[in-house]
Amino acid sequence: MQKLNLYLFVLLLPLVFDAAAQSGVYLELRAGAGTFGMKSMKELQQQAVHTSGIDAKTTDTFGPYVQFGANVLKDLNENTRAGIFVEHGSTGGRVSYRDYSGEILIDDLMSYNAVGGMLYSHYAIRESKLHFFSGMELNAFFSKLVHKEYWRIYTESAESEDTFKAIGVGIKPFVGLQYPVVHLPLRLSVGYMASASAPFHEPGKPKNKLTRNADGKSLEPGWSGLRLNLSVAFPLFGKDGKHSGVK
Amino acid sequence: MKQRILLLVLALPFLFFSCDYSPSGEHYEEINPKPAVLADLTLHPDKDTLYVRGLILFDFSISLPGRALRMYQLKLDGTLLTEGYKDADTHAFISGNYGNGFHTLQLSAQGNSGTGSLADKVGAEVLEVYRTWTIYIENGPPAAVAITKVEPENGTLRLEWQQSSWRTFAKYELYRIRLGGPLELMASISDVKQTSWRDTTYIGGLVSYWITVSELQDSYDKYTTGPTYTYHYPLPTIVQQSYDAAHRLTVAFTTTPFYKNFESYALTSPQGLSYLSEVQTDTVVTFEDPGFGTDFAFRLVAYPKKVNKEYYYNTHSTYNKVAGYGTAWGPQPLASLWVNTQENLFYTGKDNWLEVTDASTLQVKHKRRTSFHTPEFPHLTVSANGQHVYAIENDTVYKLDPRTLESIAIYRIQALLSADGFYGNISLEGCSNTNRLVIGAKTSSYRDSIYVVDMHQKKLLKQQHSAAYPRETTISPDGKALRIYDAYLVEQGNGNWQKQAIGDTETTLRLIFHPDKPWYGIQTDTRLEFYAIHSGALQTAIATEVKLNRFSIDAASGFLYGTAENTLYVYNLETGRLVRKQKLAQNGIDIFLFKDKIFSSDRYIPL
Repeated sequence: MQKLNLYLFVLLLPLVFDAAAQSGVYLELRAGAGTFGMKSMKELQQQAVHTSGIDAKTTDTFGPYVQFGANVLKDLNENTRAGIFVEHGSTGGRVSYRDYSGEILIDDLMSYNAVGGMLYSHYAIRESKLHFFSGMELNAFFSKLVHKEYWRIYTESAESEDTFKAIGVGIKPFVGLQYPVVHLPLRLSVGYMASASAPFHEPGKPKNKLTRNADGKSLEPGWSGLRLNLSVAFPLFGKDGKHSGVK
Repeated sequence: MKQRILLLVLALPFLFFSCDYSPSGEHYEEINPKPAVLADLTLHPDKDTLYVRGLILFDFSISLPGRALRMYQLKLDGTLLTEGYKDADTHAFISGNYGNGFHTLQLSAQGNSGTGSLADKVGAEVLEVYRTWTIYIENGPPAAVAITKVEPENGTLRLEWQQSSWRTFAKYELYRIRLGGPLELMASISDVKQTSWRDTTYIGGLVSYWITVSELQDSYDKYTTGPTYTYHYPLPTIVQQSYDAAHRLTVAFTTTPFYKNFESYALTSPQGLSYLSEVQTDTVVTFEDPGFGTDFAFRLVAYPKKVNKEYYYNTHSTYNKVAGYGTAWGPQPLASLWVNTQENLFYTGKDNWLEVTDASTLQVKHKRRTSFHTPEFPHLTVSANGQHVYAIENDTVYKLDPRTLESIAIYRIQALLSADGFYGNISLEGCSNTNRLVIGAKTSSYRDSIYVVDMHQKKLLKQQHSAAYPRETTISPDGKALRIYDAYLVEQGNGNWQKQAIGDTETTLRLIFHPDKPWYGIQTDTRLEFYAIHSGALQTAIATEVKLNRFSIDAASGFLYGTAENTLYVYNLETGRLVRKQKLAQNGIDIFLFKDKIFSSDRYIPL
C-alpha cells in the first residue's frame, strides 16, 4: 500500500512539473461520492450467510462512499480541456452474527486507486459565469480487497486477514456545471462509472486467483455505479495568470 | 503559492487513504441459553436397587429428542465401564470383578446443547444428562457367620449366631465335634432369621460348634464355614467322700445344669462298686462297706439322651480316685517287705535302697544302698528269730546288723557255693534261726538250683537242682526241714535230706513252717493241720469257714490269717476261733498282719 502510494506520487510529480512548464494548466482537487455494484462480492456475502448455518445477516453491502482525487488539466482550446487524474475510493461489506455464546464478523474492505485520463468540453450558459460541461473519463483500476474474518466462541476467538489484488478498467461519462467561487472554478458533475475487472488474485501472484468455494466462480470488484463529483481548480503558472481559471 | 500547491500535492496520498470506508452494522440474535431438555435413559433390567451376581447384561438406551447423541458412558462408582456412540447398547457386566456390596451405576449421555447458538452449531456446547441406579453385588461364597453365644438355658445348651445377610442364602448348617467324637451335623436350617438352636444332647465336656452358610448357586451349593466356637462345661466329678463308723462310703459329685438333656448317671469302680441313676439330682451315693485294702478309682459319667454309650463312656467319663479307709502309710512294696518280729522292724527294698522301718511308729530308721533287685529274686532274708539278716549284691553276700543294716560279714558267693561255675539270678530264699542260709542261683548248666549253706561253718549242706519255676523255697526256723517248690525234705541224722510225702502238689506248695514251733502246717480243704517236723505227729488243727487261698502265721501275735475271695480271716491258732473277719476291697490284694494291725500296701487298720 505504501509502496503503491509512493509509486503514484513519483508518477505524478513529472506531470506536475511538466504541466507547470506550460501555460493554461490547472491542478484540480476532486472529491466525490458513488455507489458500487459489487455483484460478485454481494454473492460472496450471501454464500457466507448461507453456509454459516446460522442466522447471520449482511449488515453492510458495499454502501456508497466518498472518493478523493486530483486532476491535472490543460486547456486544449477555449472550450476543451484534457488531463490526467488519480483517484482513490473505497467501500466495504459486513456479515455479522452474535449471540450469547459467540459471534462471527466477516468484513470485506475494498479500495481502489484509479489512474486515468479525462476530456471535457464546457460552454458558458448565456454568457454568464456559469458553465455547462460534459466529458468522459477513462481509467485503470488497481483494486485491493482485505478480507477479514473474526470468530469468537465464548472466550475462544480466532481471526484472519487476507489481502487480494485485482486490476480493471473503467469509463465514466459525465455532465456538470462549473462556477467560479473566489476566482477558483468549482465544478460539480454527475456521471456513471462502467467498469470491468479481472479477478482478485494473491498479491504478486496473478495466477492464484480468488474463487468462491460454493460455485468456483472468480471474484472481482464491481466499481460500476453512479458518481457525483465536486472539484476545485488551481491554475498553475499559466500565461493567463489568475484569469485563466475565470474564463 | 507555489509552495502551497506543492504541499497540497504532497499531502494528497495521505488524504486519500486516511479515511477509507469502514463496514458497519451488527446482528444480535436473542437465544435462550437454557432450553427445555427432554431426555430418556433406560436400563434393563430396571429396579430401584439391582441385585447382581455373576455376569449380567445391561441393556440400555438413550433418547435425546431434538439433539444429537455424541457419546454415552456407563460408569460404576465413577469408573468407566464402557462408552460408545450408539443410542442403544448392551454391556456385559462381570460383577465378580467388583466387591460385594452397594455400588452406583451411572449412565450418562452427551449431546449438543440444542440452544441453536453459535457455540452449539460449532459443537462447543455440550449437554450431559445422566441417570444413576443403585446396584448391590453379591458373589459367593457367602459371608461366614459366627456363633456369638453358647450358654446353658432351661436345661439345655442354647447357641446363638449372627444372622446371614446373604441374599441367596440357602441354609445354615450347624456342626459339632465332641471330645474324641466324630463330626456331627446337628441341624440344617433354611430359615435365615433363625439364629438360635438348642443342643439337646450336650451334658458337659469339651465341644466345638461352627456354622456353615450355603447359598443356592446354580446346581451346586457353595458354602462358607464360620469360626469354631469351643465350649466347655465341666463333666460331673466327685467332690466329697467320707466313711462312717461302719465303713460306709458316701460320695457326692457335681451335677450338670443340662437337666433336659440328661438321661442317667453311671458311677463304677473296678472293685465292683456301681451306681446307676436316672434322676439328675441324685448326686450323693452311699455304698455299704466297700472293703479294706485299696483306693477306689471311680469312673463317673453322665449320659445325655440319644448317645452311643460305649463311645460316650470312653470319652466323657471322669476318673475319681476315692481313698480307701484306714491310716495311710505307704505305698510299700509288700513283695519286697520282710518282718523282724523280735526287733519290731520292717525291712523294705525300694529300687536301690534297703530301708529299716520301726514297725510301731512306721518311721524309717536306717537306709542302706544296694544293687537293684526285683521282687522275683529276693535280695534280703531274715531268720524267724530276727538274729540273722543277709543281703546279696551282685555275687557278694553280706551279713547285716539287724538294726542298722551295716555289714557285719562279707562272703564271696563262689566261695560259699563251689569253686567254679556260673552264678546268675541269685536270690536269698530264707535263713533259719540256726544260721542256715538258702540261696537260689542259676548254675552253668542253666538250671535253677537251691543251695543250703551253714554260714557258721561256711559249708554247703545241700544243693538241689530244680527245673521248676519259680524256685520258691522255705526253710524251717530250726533249719531241719526244707520245702523246695513241691518237695518237702527233712534232714536226717546222717546229714542227708530225705524227701517226705505229705500230700499232693498243691498241698505241698501251700506248706508253711510255724515261726516259733518246730511244726509245719498243711491245708486240706477247710482244715488246717500242724505236724511236728521230727515225728510227723499231728499237733493241732483248726477248721476255717472257707478254704483259704493263702495262709500264714504272724509271729508277733501268733494269729493265723489268710484270705479267701475278698475276705480276710484271722484265727487264734491255740483256740481255733475266728478272731477277725475283714472284708477286702477286692480279690487278690496283698495283705499282711503284724502284731495289732492289718496292713495293705498303703493303709493299715487296727486288728
